[in-house]
Amino acid sequence: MKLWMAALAIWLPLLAAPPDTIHGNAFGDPKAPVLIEVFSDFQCPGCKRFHDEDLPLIVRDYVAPGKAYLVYRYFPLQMHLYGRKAAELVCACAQLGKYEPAADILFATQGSWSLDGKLDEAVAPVLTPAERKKIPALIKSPSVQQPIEGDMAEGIALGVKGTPTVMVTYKSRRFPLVGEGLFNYRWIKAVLDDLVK
Amino acid sequence: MTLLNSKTPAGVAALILRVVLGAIFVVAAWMKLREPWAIFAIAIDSYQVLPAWAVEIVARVLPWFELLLGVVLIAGVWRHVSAAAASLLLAVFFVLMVRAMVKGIQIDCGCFGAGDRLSWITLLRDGTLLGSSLFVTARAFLRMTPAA
Repeated sequence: MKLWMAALAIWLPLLAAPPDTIHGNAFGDPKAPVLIEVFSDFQCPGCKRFHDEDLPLIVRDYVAPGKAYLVYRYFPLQMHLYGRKAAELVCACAQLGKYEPAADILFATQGSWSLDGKLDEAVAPVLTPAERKKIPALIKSPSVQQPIEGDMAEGIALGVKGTPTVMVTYKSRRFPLVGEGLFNYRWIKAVLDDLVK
Repeated sequence: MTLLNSKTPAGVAALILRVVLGAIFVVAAWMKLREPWAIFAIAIDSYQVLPAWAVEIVARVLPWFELLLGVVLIAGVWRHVSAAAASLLLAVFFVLMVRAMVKGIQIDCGCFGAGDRLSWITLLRDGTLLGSSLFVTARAFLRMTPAA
């Protein structure tokens, strides 16, 4: 009996739900039939293109009407010098309820901070002075590091090798979407229409 | 003449390879047909060789063609046509995959549905299938030639 209790004590925490890594980086109804996870790196040009061209259409056609739940997954690539720093900065902004403006401005100014690394300056216009003071401490905190590590671990477990990778989940089936074809919204729309018809 | 007999080792090998190739085509088709057709369209479009209208036609038709080809290969009917079609199809896939690898395009190969990333392993796999298919095709056409 004691052995059983000891085994339970060890296993119960492992069986518990994983820590919630979503804070500001999710949009729509969590109960929507389709889950769209975008594994993205703020310094990746393809991710900027996907963010600028496809994401607004996905939000308009599927997230806003409650057909899909969209989650941005932090997946900074090692090949990008400022990818991790950008992810940490946006995740810190997300803790202050500023995920969307921070993500938008970093993608909009990607061309400049990718060269000089001046991320703080890039994101400054969307933060108040008080918020800006909180950012350095937030970046070091588990509330920022854990979501990034969690998203990266999830991506690696799912076989994500590059960005952007869009993982569409419907009725427990996962469909990874990658490549140049992602930038033709016609295909994404056809996939989602097929699933939610 | 005995070399062309299906009871020879080469003949048995051709028979096994034909059935295996057929089964692989059926599996590849089934993996695509169980997913929304546009997932295959994304994979095809990522190769950057066809216009969007052609991508849609190929994405909708090719899985059914692969299914038919697989069944015909397994059944052993129209052997010359089916073996030649399989070789031609695999050769086209192989050339496109090599082109994508050389260009450094990171994509799904589109071979067995979503999530099958293009790599040297997929290239080796497709190359092996192409070699097998060429062997089956050669055997099929050699059997057609009149014995000396």
